[in-house]
This record gives sequence, C-alpha cells and structure tokens, in this order.
Amino acid sequence: MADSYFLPEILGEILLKLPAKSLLRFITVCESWHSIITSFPFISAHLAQTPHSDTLFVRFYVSTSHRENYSLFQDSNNQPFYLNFTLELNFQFNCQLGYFRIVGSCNGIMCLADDLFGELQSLILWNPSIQKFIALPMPSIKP
Amino acid sequence: MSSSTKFLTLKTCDDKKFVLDEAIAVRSQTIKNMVEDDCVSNVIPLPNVDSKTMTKVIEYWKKHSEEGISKDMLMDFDKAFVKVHHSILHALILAANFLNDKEMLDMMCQEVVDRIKGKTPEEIRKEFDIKNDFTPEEEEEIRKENAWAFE
Repeated sequence: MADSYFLPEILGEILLKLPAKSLLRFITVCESWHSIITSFPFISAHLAQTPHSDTLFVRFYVSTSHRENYSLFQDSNNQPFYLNFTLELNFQFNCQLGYFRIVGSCNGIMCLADDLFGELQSLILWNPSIQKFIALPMPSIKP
Repeated sequence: MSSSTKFLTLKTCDDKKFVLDEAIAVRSQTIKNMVEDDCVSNVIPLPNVDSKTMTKVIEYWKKHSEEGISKDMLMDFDKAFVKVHHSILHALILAANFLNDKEMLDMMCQEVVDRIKGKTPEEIRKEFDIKNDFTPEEEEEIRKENAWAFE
C-alpha cells in the first residue's frame, strides 16, 4: 500500500462524513489526522454539512432526586404521537437550586444559566456532541 | 434521446479499450469536459484507471442510466455494488475521483465511513497503513481529554 492511502481531498471527504464521536477517537490516529480534525475550517465544514435532522432535544427534571436529564429523540412523520428515544446525554453539571434555565442554542452549543431564583450563579456553554463545556466568568458588575 | 447515438472509446492504463455510449460516459465530468472542449479525436486515455476497475465503473454507470429503473432497484444495486474488498473500494474511489463523478464518489466515501466509524485508532492505522507519530505521552494526553469517545 502506498504511503498515503487516500489523496488529501478524499480523506477530507471521508472525515467530514464521520460522526463527532468517531472523530474524537480518530484525532489520536496520527498528527496529520489530528491537525485536520481539530482545524477551524474542518470544524466549520463538518457543521455546515451536518444535515438538519428531526432530532429533538428533551429535558426533564426529577425534583425528588434533583436530577436533570437531557436526551435526544427522533421525531417521525409516520408516527405523529410517538418519539423515538435516541440517546441520553451525559450531563455533568450541578445546579445550586432547582435546575438550569436553557438560555438558547447555536450551532449545537447550549447556553445554560443557573439563575432560576434571580441571582445568576453560573453560566455554562455546553457542546453535548463532544461532551465539552466552559463556565463563563461571572460579571463583576451586578445589574 | 438523440437519434444518432455517439460512441466513445476509453483506454485504460493496461491498454484495454471500452466502447461506450457518449450519453453514459459523460456521467464523468472529466470526460464531459473533454467532449465539450472537442478534444476527443478517437480514443480517450484513462491513465489512472485499470480495466478491472473501469468494468465496475461502467456497470454502475449503465445501471444508473437505465430507463424506467425504480429508486428501490437502484438502492438495492448500490448496496450490493459497494460490498467489495477494500482494495477494490479504494481503486473505485480513486477512479471516481479521477473521472470526477461526484455521485459515485460520495457513495463510495459513505461506504468507507460506515466501515470505519466504529473502529479504534489502532484499527484505523492498521487498515490505512498509517504510522503513529505521537509519543505515547502525547497520545495518552489526547485520549484522556476524550475518554468517553473510547467507551
């Protein structure tokens, strides 16, 4: 087999079609795969070609155990009153009181605020598909 | 369809000749450009494709050009078509890329994706003959960051 099995443009085509979880594993294949997959142009292209699906993001809160559950469900046109369970997301945050407020989402990133009872305790940007998050620094000036 | 069917002769790298209806051969953007630029005098050389691979490509082109073929039949055909040894799949991808047939290239790449998406990095290196150029420490570090993806 030749040194490079695939031409760079074909390798790019193939990597773009892979799901995020496989890509996270494949960044350890070699340095060149690592630099392609973690590059900004690749990430943008991967997001752009991800088809808009009928996946719904569902959250429910169990008040007795103070647990928030986040799951993905597949909506189907054939069965109007049925959602197909797809995946339970690993939710690794703890709210001081109650549960997070979902501020919004953009390009697959969720913004969660712990401010149910007025004062903002924490603000989190969460990317569930790669299971990474950052906690935003709290503003020093209170409104 | 036009009444006068034109034929093109394609010559693969192992000197085999294929005579093909022009309307089918222009599924290849590369051949289409050559036809439009009027630079096909008699034989179109395909220096990057061997006859074994070209036979498969033509089989695909002919099936996809059949009149009145149903979507389901094409899907079944495609499904069976991609079930080949990975050396053949590899040759078909290179051919589809050279011939610039986007539809076929997409389908073959999707098949590679389906074959590799569940694999481990070690299996990928073995399958594609890739050398691991990370130090064990570097590799461990990156793995740790995304440990859940290895579960």
